[in-house]
Amino acid sequence: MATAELPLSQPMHRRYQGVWDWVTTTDHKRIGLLYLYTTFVFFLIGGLMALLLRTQLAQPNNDLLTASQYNQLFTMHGTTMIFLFVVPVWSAFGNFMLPLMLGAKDMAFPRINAFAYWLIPLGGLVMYSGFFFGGSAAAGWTGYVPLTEKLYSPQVGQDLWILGLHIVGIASIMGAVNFLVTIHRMRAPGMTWFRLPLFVWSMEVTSALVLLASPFLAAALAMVLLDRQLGTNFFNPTHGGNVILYQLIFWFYSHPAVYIMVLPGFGVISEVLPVFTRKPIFGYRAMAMSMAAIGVLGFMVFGHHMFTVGLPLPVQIFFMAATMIIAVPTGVKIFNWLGTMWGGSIRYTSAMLFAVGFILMFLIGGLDGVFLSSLGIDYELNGSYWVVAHIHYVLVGGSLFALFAGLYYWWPKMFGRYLNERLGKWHFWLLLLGFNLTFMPMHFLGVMGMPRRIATYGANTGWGPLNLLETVGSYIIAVAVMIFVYNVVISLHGPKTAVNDPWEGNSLEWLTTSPPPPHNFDVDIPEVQSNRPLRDWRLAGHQINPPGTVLP
Amino acid sequence: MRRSHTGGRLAVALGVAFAGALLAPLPVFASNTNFLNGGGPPVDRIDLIWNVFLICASVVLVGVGGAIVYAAFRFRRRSPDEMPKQVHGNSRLELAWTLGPFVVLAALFVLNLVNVGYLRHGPTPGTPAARQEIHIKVVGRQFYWTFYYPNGKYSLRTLEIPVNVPIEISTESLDVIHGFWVPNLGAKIDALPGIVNHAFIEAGSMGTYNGQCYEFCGVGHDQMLITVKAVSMAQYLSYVQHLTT
Repeated sequence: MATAELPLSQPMHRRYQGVWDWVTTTDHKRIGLLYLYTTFVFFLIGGLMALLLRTQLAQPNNDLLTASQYNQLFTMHGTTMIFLFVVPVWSAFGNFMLPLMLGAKDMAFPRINAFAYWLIPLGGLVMYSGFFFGGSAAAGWTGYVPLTEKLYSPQVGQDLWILGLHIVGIASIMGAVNFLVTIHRMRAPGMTWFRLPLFVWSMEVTSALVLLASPFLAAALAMVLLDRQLGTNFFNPTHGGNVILYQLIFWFYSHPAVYIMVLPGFGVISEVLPVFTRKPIFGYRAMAMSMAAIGVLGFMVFGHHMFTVGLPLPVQIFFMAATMIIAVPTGVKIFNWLGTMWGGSIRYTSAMLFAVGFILMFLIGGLDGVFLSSLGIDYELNGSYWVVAHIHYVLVGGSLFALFAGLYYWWPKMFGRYLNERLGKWHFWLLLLGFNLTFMPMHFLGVMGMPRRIATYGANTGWGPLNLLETVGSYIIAVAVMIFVYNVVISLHGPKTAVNDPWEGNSLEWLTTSPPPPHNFDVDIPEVQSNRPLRDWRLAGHQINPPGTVLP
Repeated sequence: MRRSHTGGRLAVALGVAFAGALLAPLPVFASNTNFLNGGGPPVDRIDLIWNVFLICASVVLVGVGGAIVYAAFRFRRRSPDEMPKQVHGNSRLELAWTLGPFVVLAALFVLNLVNVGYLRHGPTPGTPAARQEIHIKVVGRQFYWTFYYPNGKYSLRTLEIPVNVPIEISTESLDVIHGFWVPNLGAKIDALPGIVNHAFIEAGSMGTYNGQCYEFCGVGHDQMLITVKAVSMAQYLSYVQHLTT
């Protein structure tokens, strides 16, 4: 394919120095790193908010936070973690790794890429600025009407929240277009659809979801903004508006968004497992097709968030059926990961530990989700702490564990340095412990009748002890994250010792140097013959690491 | 690969212990809003569905989770140059674990299908149970509940109902969205502005049942408590008659 030569044919531009070099960069690797740094800062901010929330809930009738402060914090915790962390963080790997995995020299649209990135911190700042103008948004990350209407949420923070989300949404859409075009047009010679790394497959499906779903979020939010600022009545029932309309449009985006947040994690795990088991992924085609199936079905299940709003029963039954069906391709993935581990030669690097942890935690997150798909059970558990448990098992036990697996795996490629494996193992075990202590009891609290989003609860409810346990767990999570931050700091101050291919990788990013040169590959890329090209070449006797290399 | 089986056995034991630790505590947590403690005919029906789901989920969790933990221990790398058999897949196995869950989920779907009509709308119209239904209007507003009885009188925050009588409730809101949830009495339902919703509750024995608003509604969300007193029909009639409003 001739496309791989495109960036070289462009004239050389003057390079800036220092900070300006980063501000003006259109290099996909640098943009990937910018995504990583930025989203990780948002992760730490969202985590601090979570600690405050958990501290408030540690005991009944606590008054550490007022209800108003609590509502702002849980709203901004959810908004931060979803829109400023988990959704955009995959653009870090997507940007850095995807062109390398394809054997390309950059993304298809480098300038759009840079523009999309810079909208993320801007959107975040716009949302957070509400704190300085009479309070941030405080109606939950779902922003249900009419609570977000001017009558009930007069603060400008609610408008800034909408504008911030619009900005972030534009970034998502531009990023998605860029990934799609890159995947479709810039693959190495011989890299057919069924020879693509599964991470690339996951970004393909994710980007399609982003492109198709994000405009609906923008539309829902725009209607709220018009209601608030121009006096329209989309959601004002006294003038013929309908409050359910918002939820339908919102969830038409936000359910696919769950897959936007977790599919790239599936991709990462499907890269990490084969490398550290020395086996091919079990059922490659089923893995690719199940992601596509999840992508399609992901648009047909959004009504399950609305089982108690009074939709007609046949509609509810349809969404129950669709939701149960989407458990099938999700189950296929878990079985195929198990099949990959089975009979393998498993090496427990930190990346592999996180991958196995991911599978187990995601299994729980899948099973507790099946309970919610049941209309009968959802009539009890909707809006309860069971839902909070479920979303965190999917987005923390799923997405976050996969993210850390990817970070330990790709860190040498991204920075030319290793992360400390001993600290990595402390990080993993403490996170696993803290995570389960924090979120497992939320299932029980949901069963015990604790609704989500309450700022406090009475002592007679019996919810106190489990809440205290959760708070302890959340501090253990904080310690685990601090260990990771420390690991990053010492790694970035260490020598650049990483070789091209430290883990006996399968995909093309391991062919080039760590970190790669600005144009990615100094070597010619031979024609790809399978979905494990690097392994093919290594077994054919090609020297990928310098002679005499001792692998970590 | 043939090293001691202690690792494998340890793994299975760990897996079972893990799953047991997850599932065992559910019934023992005491709370007066735990829907697993029953409370009346609709909740008993939900508990039936719950128990079937719990059994299926436990089997999957112990089976699949146990297999993952077992594989994680059993297939550790023994030597640096070990090269496992390169298995790319197994069509029959993959078909089995696609269709297997499908069949189980289809059964769970049918279990819900035959029960949702009752859970949402109450006893079938025309049956003796349905004929004695009492209708109560539930109105939510920031941040309290008002209950309107058939005689036009109302009470705030506390609702009295006769025991063993299906209660048809209709919900609405005067401001933002609220949610009516008394876990031991039946299915929850949103109270929406501009739209009237219908649901059904029933108490199986006399006593006090607690609940609260489950749909986030603002700074007083946690104060929107609901107390339901299930009393005899005579006490109920006397109560509604003597309401001053």
